[in-house]
Amino acid sequence: MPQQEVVSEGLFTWPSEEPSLIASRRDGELSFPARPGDETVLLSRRGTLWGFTTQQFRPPSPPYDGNDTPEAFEPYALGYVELPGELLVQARFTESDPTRLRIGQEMELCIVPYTIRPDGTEVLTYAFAPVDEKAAS
Amino acid sequence: MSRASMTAAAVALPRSPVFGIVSCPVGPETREFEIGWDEHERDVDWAESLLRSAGLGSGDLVLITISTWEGPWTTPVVHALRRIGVTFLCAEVWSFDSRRTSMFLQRLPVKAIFGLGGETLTALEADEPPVAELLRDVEIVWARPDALPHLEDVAPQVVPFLLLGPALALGVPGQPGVKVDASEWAVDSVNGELVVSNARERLATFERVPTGIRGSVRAVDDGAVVIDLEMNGA
Repeated sequence: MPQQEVVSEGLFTWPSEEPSLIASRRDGELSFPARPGDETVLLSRRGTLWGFTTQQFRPPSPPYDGNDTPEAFEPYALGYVELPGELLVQARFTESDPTRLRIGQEMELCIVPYTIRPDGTEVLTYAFAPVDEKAAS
Repeated sequence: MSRASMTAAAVALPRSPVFGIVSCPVGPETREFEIGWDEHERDVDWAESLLRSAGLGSGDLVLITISTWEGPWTTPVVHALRRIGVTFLCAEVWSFDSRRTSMFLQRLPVKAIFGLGGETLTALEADEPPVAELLRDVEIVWARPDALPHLEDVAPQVVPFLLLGPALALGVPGQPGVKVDASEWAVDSVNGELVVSNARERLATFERVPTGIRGSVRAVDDGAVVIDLEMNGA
């Protein structure tokens, strides 16, 4: 198994069988990512797809830091997931085919590799997967 | 430098002699012509008046699906929306961007759509939710001629939006036909085809330009040429 690291400490609980996003609360209002010094809150792992788009070409780098090339780039989908009673979270999705995504469908948090460093370290970030896709896998 | 001070500095700069130079299809051929500042302001005034009479007001949400080459006709509408205080949402008029149109309609209380086209509707019809559901709460749809047949019995208030040669023609909910600014344009019907001429001086002169659109002039009333179109759904 390759060595792994998270893209940024404090974004999600890891390692974990059931990871959660780490938010914070101040004056009753949730923030994600968490604001330093505030009360920490673990967010719900499931929510509904609020809206999405697809990235069809390699974004400018920086900020994009994938280790691919324009030729090898694989399109991905991203958007907002509404966590009930909490907030909207922007995230990548594991499903890149827009015809298999629909507003309102149930999504679940997962942790996925998104790039590999030159030394072979796999970098992990959070994403959401359609619940039916997870069930099928 | 604040936005206000940048705007003030920009206003003080020498202004270009014309509002814009256009190269675009006018009726059956491509024409290049200039649009002056005065006539642009008059076009915005007219668009603002028509949009207000259609019921748009400050704070309303309007989805616009227009393309950049249509600027001579649609820029006055966009500027009028700004004047009114409308918040407008932009999506491409082409099928590849139909999901953005769908998302706006599902997620936001869109009061009107301006420029809905046949390509967008064809793409939406192949997807969920149904178009009738998407448009259920939209009060006004200014639809292009190729979209009108899709919208019969679907949207509550569908009125035409079309490029009538160099002139803009818009419907108003509850009123017959489409309207063209009579102070700027004269419209006639020749063997059933609408032709357009200047009604007053503009930088570009048009004289009985064929539009490729069939219809007849119903009346010249209250500053507008009212036209009955001969097309499905109009």
